[in-house]
Amino acid sequence: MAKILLVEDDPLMIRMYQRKLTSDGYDVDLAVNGEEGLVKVRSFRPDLVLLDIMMPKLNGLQVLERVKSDPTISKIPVVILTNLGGSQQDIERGLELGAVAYLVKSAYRPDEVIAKVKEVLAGYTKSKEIPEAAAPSAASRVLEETTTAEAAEKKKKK
Amino acid sequence: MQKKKGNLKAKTKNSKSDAVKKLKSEIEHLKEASHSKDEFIRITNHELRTPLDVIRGNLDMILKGDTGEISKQTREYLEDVILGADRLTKLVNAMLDLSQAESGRMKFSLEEIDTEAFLKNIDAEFMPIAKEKGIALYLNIEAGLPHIISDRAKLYQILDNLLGNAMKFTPKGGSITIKGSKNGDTVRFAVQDTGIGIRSDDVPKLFKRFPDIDTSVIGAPKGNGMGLALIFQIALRLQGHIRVESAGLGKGSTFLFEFPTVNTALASKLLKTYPKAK
Repeated sequence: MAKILLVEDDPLMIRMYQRKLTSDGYDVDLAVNGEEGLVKVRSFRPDLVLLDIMMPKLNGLQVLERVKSDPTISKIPVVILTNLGGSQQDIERGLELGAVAYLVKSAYRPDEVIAKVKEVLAGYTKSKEIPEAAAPSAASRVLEETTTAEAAEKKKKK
Repeated sequence: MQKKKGNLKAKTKNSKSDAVKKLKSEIEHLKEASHSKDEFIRITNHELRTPLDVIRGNLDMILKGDTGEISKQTREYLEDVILGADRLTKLVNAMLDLSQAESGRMKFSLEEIDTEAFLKNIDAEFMPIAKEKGIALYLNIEAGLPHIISDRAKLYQILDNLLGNAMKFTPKGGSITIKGSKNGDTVRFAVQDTGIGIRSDDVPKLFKRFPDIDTSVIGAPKGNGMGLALIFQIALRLQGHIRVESAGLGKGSTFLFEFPTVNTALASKLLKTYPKAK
């Protein structure tokens, strides 16, 4: 059973991902800020870290930097899971610092996040893809004027 | 006498520099106010998005059966909740985009774009939607259309918005034409439809935020009121000026704009403002 450390400060977000991860059979531990996250990377020894960016105390990028500069834990894959509030520079910085993926919450449903986790754990790592939704033009994907009916139609087609 | 005159001169000079100082401080003040407004929007967006992601995420899990079987009726209700949340998310995204575009903080990634290939792709993408709506979609590209310097995603966003509107306001049996033509140092893009058109009184309002336009006569669904304002701002940053021509209600409309051709002064100017994509 793979061990996942979820570093996230929003209680609703925590519960949501925890539900999904647990029901999919992962052993989940939590940290509610960056500082605790860093401590738990060392004590819990996860197989993968899901890391939020905007957090009190240490932010996600600072946590990432420290994880990657400590050879005893630097091999643990880190997936950034963040809000669209993150800028393009944050994305680039995150990948530069060694994150294996950068997922924007509003563009990934919980099951898609799990799919990414599985992929990374299976070793498909280093997919330095930047989700379209993370680009500054994020909103372009969801332009206005999609009426309720249109959206419903689209949904059905899926 | 001589002295007095000198004093007077000094006084005028002083009051002039006072006025300049005052203006400068006012400008600074306005800049700060505008910046704090942008910050406010940015943070509000972040705060709005988190609960929205939670709503959509949990609903998605329920709809995908994570919590067990749900009744057909429950599914229907929840699907409407998701549609509502989706709409809110779009609104939040549009707000953020618009505030970034207006404040000049929007980022652009420029590259040389094969205009003809780009328009052909757009046409292919919209063809099935047009067919479904019973609208004829034409592509009218001038031979030897030069490449342009622009931001691919943004150009797509602009055309996607204009075509989306054209589809919305053109009744079954009508037609939409996507045009690309040479125009001096630029390429002119146009989206022309045979739809319901625009009243001349409404034209100046069209590219404003939340334009106060009565669409009830048309019976068309309301958008979020930011789409055209947003693409107008985006085009402006890319040296393009979106405008509309319409002979009035019921007479169709044409939206057009120009983007700089490669190796022109306008293109270099644009490249100076935003560095080319890696």
